[in-house]
Amino acid sequence: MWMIFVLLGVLFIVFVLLEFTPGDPARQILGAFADEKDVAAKRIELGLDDPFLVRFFRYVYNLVFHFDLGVSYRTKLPVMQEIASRLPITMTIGVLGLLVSVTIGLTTGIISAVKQYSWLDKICNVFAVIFYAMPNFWLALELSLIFALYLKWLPPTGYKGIEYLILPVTALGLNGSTAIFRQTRSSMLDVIREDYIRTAKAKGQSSIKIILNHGLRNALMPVVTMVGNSLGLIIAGTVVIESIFSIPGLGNYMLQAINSRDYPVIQGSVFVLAFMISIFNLLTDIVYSFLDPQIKSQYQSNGISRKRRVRTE
Amino acid sequence: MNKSNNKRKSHFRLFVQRFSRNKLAVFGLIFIVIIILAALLAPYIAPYGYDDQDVSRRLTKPNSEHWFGTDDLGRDVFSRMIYGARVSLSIGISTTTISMFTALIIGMISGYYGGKVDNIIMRIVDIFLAIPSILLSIAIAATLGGGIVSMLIAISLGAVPGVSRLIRAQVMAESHKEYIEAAKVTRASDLRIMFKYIFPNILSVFIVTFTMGVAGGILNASMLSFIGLGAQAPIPEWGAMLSGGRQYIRDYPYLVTYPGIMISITVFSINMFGDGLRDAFDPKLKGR
Repeated sequence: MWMIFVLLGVLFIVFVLLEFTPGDPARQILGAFADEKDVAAKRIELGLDDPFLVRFFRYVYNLVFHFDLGVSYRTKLPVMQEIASRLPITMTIGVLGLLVSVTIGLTTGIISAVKQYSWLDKICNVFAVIFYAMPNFWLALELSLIFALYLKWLPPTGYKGIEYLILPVTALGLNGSTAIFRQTRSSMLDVIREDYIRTAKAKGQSSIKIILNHGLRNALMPVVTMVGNSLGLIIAGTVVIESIFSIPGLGNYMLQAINSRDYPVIQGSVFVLAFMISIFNLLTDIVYSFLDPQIKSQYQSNGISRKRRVRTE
Repeated sequence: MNKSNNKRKSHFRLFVQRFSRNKLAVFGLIFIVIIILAALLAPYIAPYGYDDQDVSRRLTKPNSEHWFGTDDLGRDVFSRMIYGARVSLSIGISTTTISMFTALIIGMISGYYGGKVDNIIMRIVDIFLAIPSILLSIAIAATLGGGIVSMLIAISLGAVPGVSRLIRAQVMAESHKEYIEAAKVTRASDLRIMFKYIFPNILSVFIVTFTMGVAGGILNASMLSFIGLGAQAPIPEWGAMLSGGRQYIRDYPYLVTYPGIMISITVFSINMFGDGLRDAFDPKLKGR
């Protein structure tokens, strides 16, 4: 329920932003040499002369009941259709990138915490801060320079098969894994000091079992929040990464729209991306409730939709 | 070192001592100072101007005359990188200043008054947080139509929601403490309590967040410039240089590599410096 308000809010923000854009959409559709009269007629046809709120609610109405996000200025095709054909590619990259970053982040984080101050811990830490400081588009460029242009192991650009996804996903994943690594490491370190870990050790349980069953399970909650956050970053990262590898996804589409000032497309893309991120946040909340029985019981007792969350930005 | 000597040390001396024990943080600080000096003294250090074009020397590889080579217009990459420090640093610092102080006001009001006010403000912040800050920045910069000023606004606004939430949590934790109660009993005004009592106590978090914010600002600025929404030619911003060198990456990879290394090292140093500051402010957090 709350998500609907968030999405309405996102739409409103994007809509307000477009209010500030210079230029007249009607003029943009018809071109610079169009007759003044035609432009005025087009304005009325598009309903641009209506008050702001009327236009906003019309936009929302069209979106909700007709799945309509307007028409692209550039290609004259419905924005929704264009986005729908590109979204799967972006989501594939995003989800794969997230998988890579979770895998790397979790394993290195656990190893680092268990073997704190060892050389492995130090190496992990150094790599984490280095990858954290690199802009992900630069990492992507360097990766394609090394693996595609020099070593010729992987194709540099395009999207024709799974091997085209390796470089973009690696770049996104490495970049995203640093935050998950840090979070995993620090919450594992917290948990390892707890009494119940000592108890489990005293019982003579194997150390792997202790780490996974007693340690990780309790350390996982802040990590899940962090995963939710990094998905947002990864999806935002695809915008640039796709353009570097010429992958015909939503991000690339949005960048082209930005360059040609195609506002309905920008509006629609930002909204759809925010929508996907909201859905993933909802999923994180559900995962959360599985991990934490307290929250689960809260859900069952009074259906509270607001959860305690640690937001770290 | 004996104990009586230790006692006489001021809070600040102890702070410096704790900070200087962290070698990476000291390295970060040194590098930041070098970058700041380079930015301030750019006209004296840089061998060429940032827009001195020499078409006869386009795309020369790094040599003794042009340390980092020249770009497609024959401009010296090394000089442009030094001038770029000016642009990147000032963008990083100014956007963070704007966003931190906006967030400070929002977070203070929300955290101090709590209740309904807090609820309303935080729900609005939630909405903004649904859009990742960089996507929000891209959207804002796209609407404002590129250029340095719109980039400044875009990055600052993009960072506000996250920081507001952080500051609000800090303020909230402080405002339930006893000394605030005591201040209220003496009928200190709300404004006085906020800035005279609460602010000094969240100052350490504020400073650390500020430092990290500068690093984030530089990264975001380079990204916006890279996709053409930030600094426009001939302004030598690192991200813009990267974007300009991109089409020559096959034969002249240094055009892409050097600016990228510059961004990474700068962001790395600032982050390490921030980490060191945090550990020095609160030794309990060390090693996390």
